[in-house]
Amino acid sequence: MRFADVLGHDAAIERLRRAAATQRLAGAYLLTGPAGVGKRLLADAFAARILCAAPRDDDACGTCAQCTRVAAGTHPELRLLERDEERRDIRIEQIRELSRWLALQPLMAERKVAIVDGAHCLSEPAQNALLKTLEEPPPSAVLLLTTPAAALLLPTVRSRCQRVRLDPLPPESVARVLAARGVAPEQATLLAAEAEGSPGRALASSGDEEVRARDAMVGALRTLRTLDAAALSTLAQDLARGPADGALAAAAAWYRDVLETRLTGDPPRRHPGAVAAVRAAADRSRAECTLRQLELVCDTINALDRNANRILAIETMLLGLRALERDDSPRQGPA
Amino acid sequence: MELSIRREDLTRGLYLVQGVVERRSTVPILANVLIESAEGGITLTATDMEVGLRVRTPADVKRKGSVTLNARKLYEISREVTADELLVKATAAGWVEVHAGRSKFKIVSLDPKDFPQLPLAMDPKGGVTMEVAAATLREMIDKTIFAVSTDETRFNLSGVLMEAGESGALRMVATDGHRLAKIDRRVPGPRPERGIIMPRKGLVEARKLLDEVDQGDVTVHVSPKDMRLATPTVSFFMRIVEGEFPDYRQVIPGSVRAKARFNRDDLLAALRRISLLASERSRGVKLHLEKGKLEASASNPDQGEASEDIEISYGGEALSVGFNARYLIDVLGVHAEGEVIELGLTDEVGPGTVSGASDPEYTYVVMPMRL
Ligand SMILES: [Zn+2]
Repeated sequence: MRFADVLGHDAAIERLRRAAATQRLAGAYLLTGPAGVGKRLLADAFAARILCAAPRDDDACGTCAQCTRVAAGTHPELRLLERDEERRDIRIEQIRELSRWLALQPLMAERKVAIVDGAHCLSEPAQNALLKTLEEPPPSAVLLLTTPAAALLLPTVRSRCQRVRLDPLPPESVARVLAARGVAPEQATLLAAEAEGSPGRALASSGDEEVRARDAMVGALRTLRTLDAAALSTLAQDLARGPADGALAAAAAWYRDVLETRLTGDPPRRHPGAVAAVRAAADRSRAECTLRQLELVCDTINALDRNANRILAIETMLLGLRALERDDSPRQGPA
Repeated sequence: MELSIRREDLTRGLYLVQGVVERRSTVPILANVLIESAEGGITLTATDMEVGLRVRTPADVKRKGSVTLNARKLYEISREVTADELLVKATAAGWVEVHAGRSKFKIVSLDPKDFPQLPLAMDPKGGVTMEVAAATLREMIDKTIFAVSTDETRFNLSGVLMEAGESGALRMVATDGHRLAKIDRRVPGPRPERGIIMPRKGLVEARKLLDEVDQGDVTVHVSPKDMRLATPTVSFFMRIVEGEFPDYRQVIPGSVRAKARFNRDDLLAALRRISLLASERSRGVKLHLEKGKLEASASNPDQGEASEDIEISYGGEALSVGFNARYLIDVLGVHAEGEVIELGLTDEVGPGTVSGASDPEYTYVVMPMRL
């Protein structure tokens, strides 16, 4: 990974390039920004630049002995720390092990770099342990912390790091990332519009399974008032078993478009291929109803983030969305 | 690559490299042993990138080359098969066949090009090289490593300092802020210009290797970035700790007020018993000295108290000082059985010293605790 491979974030890249070029590296950086916006990619690129033996144009060369090892994951001066999949947080033992490693002389390069990906997952004892290292970092060490939720870090940890803020990318940039990964242009535009500036999020929802889940969700929303409880229950089970996050994001995007179309009359930005369907939905519902539907979807997304029962949460949401819609237009009775 | 190797040779080589194979699964190739053809046989190399080990072992190489195989699996295969001779053969890219008698294994090999390059050469530019008896090195490590700090954040204390002593001896020092162990030994050869700090983990691995050498010499190479050991068949490196070891000299008292001599075994055994009733948190024991007698005692509000006295040679005034029992047991444990120990005390707050009466080159300083 090189700076050249990171899309957008020009100001942040420029700042890190300059720091590396002038050898004015801070002991620790905190990269913040929404999930999937490119924090980890930028951390990887910065690490590669710091370790590269023959940088070109203030970027890692990608071919020197250091760069090839960084790419192969066998560079002795680069270490990645993240939450173990089966654990709730990054444990203090992991930080202790990292501190021990950080104390070692670099072997191949002049510096050593540790990336703590998802730093908000650090347990409080782990943060306190890390604090000691941040207060007195070994001379050649650079720590790169990434997090979408800097507020979850202790203020003392935050204040010891140089903050690098990554803003959401414009939808066109996100679409370009998707297109470069082989997503069909129309699909890319659609996903990019929903991704709120986060290529990672858009990519995560571009897989076949994700696309199917989203299509199923949006398809159901279009005909919600005609679906019976059994159909909603089946849909909830299917979604809960699969990648539900993308489907819920799609539901939120759908209601946002319906709401905007209703209020402004503009064509839907997130569903440019479904102008007629969005307009029809906008004509059917009052804005307050759509707004409450949108809120319900967002509440469900939050509930799932907090590890709610997936089937139950999604089924309740679908029933709630249908109830709101039916209450909104009592002329049309249940199917 | 294609070779045949005696099972015994392969098993021993793999046994040695086993210990340093990476245990975290994040970098798959580090779980592998690199097998390369070499003069008269093969080399087996493994690393977790903090320490690394290369073993030369005889083998009949029919076709030169290199492969990397999962170290643990190959070791288990080598131990489990009964044939005296194993045939190792790289077939299609990425696959290696191992034949042993009637058993045949087909194992994935990862690209040797991805294996990290390690500082294992013994003719490096910069740094100094010494020949040291393995037994001496073992002793120096054993008599210091237990005093290394376990607080990872005090990284400059997280290892044993190796440097030139004032008298030109080779010196090792370790401290955790409560106690300090320092040993000087006369060994020939140049001394490192600057001291290096060898981390505990590297020393533990080095120590295992030194056991294998038994009575012979090892070549020690100290460079600004790492420390290497070599025997005729094994090369080893460890990364060293970055940073300055604190000025430990000011910790060692110039003189002490009271000196007592006793048999190492007597106090060690007494402390082990008495400390059973020391408080779990402080591990404190009180040493009370009077003419000819040392009384060790401990008490624990929850469980009770214990005391025991031993005969010592002491003619000074009565004196009581509290210590962490662990700190005393550690150092007495590394002194030879039956050795006469000299204990130096100042007062309730001043440092105490422990040394062998016949070995002033090994000093141990321990801070007292208020009980
Ligand atoms: Zn490079």
